[in-house]
Amino acid sequence: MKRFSGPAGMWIYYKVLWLALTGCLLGAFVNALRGEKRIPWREGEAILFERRLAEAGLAVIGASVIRDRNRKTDRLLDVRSTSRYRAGRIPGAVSFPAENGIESLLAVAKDLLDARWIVVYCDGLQCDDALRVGCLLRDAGFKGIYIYAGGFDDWVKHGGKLERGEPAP
Amino acid sequence: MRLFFLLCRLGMATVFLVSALSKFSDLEAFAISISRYRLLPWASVHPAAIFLPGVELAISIGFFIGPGWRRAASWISVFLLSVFTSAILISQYRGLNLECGCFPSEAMSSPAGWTKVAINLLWLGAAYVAGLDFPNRSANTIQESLMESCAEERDPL
Repeated sequence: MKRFSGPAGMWIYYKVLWLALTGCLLGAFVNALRGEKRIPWREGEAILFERRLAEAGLAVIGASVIRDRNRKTDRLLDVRSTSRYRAGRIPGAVSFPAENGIESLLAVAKDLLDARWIVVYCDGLQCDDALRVGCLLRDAGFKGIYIYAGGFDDWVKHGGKLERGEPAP
Repeated sequence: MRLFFLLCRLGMATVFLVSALSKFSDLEAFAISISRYRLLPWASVHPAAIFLPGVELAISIGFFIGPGWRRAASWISVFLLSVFTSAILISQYRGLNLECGCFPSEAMSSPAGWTKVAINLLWLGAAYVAGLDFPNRSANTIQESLMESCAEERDPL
């Protein structure tokens, strides 16, 4: 490799700068071309939701981590209504209707005591139930709580398998 | 050996091109991935999500438009890969179970774990090699270099 000394060697720094700047302009240009799909320069709705989760001290988990989870030690809570849970859910999820609040917690608390992770999800970024249940579990003293922020919609979008009907005993 | 250098160049250009296109196809998902690392201020998440795929695209083009630009692309890619790897390591240290966000539009993104760190380190090596000149330079190139250094000796300014 050549040594970068002297005036000629300075060109490499200019080229690095030019390439980086061109890249930034290219990114801004492509985003502007995306019409309705373009993202704003300031925080969008999704980022605001992520911010609320961070401020509540809750960690976020993604679809691939849920897919690869250890079913013996990790619990998945579906906080949507029972009817929606029966219509389709992430395999292995336990029903925990947010509308029932503390009653739901009492029903599954024993099962959650030895859990390594407790993953909570609802429909997606538009619903607050996962965040509320996450806070409820955190306040009840449970550790390792994660929110699957993308929720059921994200799971379906990523082509994840579904389970329907009553859960297996 | 020449083939190895060429493969590194091609490989890096392809990786950055695929990564950029994948990010451009779903910029919001990429912005969410960045925010989950919780390393950047919230206000700078969207600008980073807009600029980064562009820079990756510029890198992939840079690998093919001449030795100087190739070297510049190599420098930036080594820098970016170091930043990405550090972000994954920090997330591992913090106990966050994140998705990488490297190729956000893929069917099921891969977790940001030790496997990803190992892959990134391999890419980092390839990015460095991709910026190097071929070791077995032709006789003409050697002659040109000799003439260059002779000229420098004659006229150091």
